[in-house]
Amino acid sequence: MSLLSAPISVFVSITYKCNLRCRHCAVYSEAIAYDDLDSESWIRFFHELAELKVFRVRLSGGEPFMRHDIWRLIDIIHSLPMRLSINTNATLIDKEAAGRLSLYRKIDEIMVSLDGSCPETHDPLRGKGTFREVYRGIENLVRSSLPVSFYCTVNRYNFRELDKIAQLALEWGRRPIKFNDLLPEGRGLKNYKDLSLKREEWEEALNLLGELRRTYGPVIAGTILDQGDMYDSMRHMGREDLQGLPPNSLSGCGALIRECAVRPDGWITPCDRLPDLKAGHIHEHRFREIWHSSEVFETFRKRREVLLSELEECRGCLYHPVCTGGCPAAPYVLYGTVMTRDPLGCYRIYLGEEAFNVL
Amino acid sequence: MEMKDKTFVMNKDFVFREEEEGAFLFNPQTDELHCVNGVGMFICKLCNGKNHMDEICKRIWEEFDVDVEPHRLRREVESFIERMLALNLLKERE
Ligand code: SF4
Repeated sequence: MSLLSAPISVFVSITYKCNLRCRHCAVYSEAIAYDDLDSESWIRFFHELAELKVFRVRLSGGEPFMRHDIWRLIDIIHSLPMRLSINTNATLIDKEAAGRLSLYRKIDEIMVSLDGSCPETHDPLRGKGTFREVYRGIENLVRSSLPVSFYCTVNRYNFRELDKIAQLALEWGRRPIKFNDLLPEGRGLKNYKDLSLKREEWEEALNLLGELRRTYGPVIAGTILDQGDMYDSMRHMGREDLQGLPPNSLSGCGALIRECAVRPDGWITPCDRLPDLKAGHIHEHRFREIWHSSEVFETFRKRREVLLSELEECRGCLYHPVCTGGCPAAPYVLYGTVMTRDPLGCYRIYLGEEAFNVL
Repeated sequence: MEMKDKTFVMNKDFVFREEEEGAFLFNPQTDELHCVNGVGMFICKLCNGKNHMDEICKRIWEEFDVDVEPHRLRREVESFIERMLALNLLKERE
């Protein structure tokens, strides 16, 4: 398959600023601070995306509504031939902001982080009083008929009440909700020991989510279920099913096929989960040039050619033909390379056949 | 008017994005996305309000390694254009 002339969609971390200090945040760590690009640079960049006929932009952060010029930037994006999605913590969305958002006809999704069903489970993770603020913001968005969806990071504080969190999302109009694993990045890495689930807890969460999906259908989704499905199919395959089949490659990541990301300070990266893989800066290079010929991107794209059977870590594994090697972000953070499997998505490690500890 | 006498233009509501192996047609207002292969992309580019069916078929014949009879090719091009019209991706030139 040849390389697309430009991405279909670009993930734009429009600001590094955030009004919350969530303990599981994969973006922030106290060790990093980026300077945000100014309005004019972003405006030039959005025009460049439109010239390249990029169809979608997703604004994220930080918290996008921390930018004083956010409405101007949304206006510009909306005036271009592209669609828009926004990731937000919703705490800054008052009635007026929700009403204003509802006037844009090309917003596909407003994804709100929702990590608990009540202050007792939510606030220890995201800060005192935040549940009420998030709740109010969501109510404003829902009342303005905006396409709200939810993102829940499953962790030690909330894994036993995922049904209650799902219930909230369903009460707000059967909204899609993703239940995703905690990532060992940013503050999530710092607090990983405290927040991550043990294997039995992860299975408990998976079973609960499986039940919810059977009851409510595909509005219940996320990486935990995806991983559970993959493990399930592996469990049902015997040696005779797998022997003789060709090995898969490290193909579990879609970055740089249809998408890439931009950091708040203007560095282009394969994905927002890989902020240190800097391919080029939008002040120094045309975006098209970075997409097509950055060395970092060329190397990253070669990841898909690496066969699992060639990896030291995967030597002798029965599951080469069905495994995809998972997400490159965790191995990058843990080992400094993307050219290997994701230990957090490895079935052999999950089975306990290999020892593994993030810390 | 018969198909052979008509000319066509792309619907300007759709962004036409050329790729190596085909093209995307995307309507940012409605989020509608379609893909066409290399021959489809070639036909779309000939739909500039000037080319009639004869000209479009002739140009395909010259450009591609076509291994069907001319009347089959013509039928296929007609049916492609009809589908594009039905999807509102093409319009008849007024
Ligand atoms: S299950 Fe684990 S060891 Fe086996 S191929 Fe996948 S990542 Fe490698």
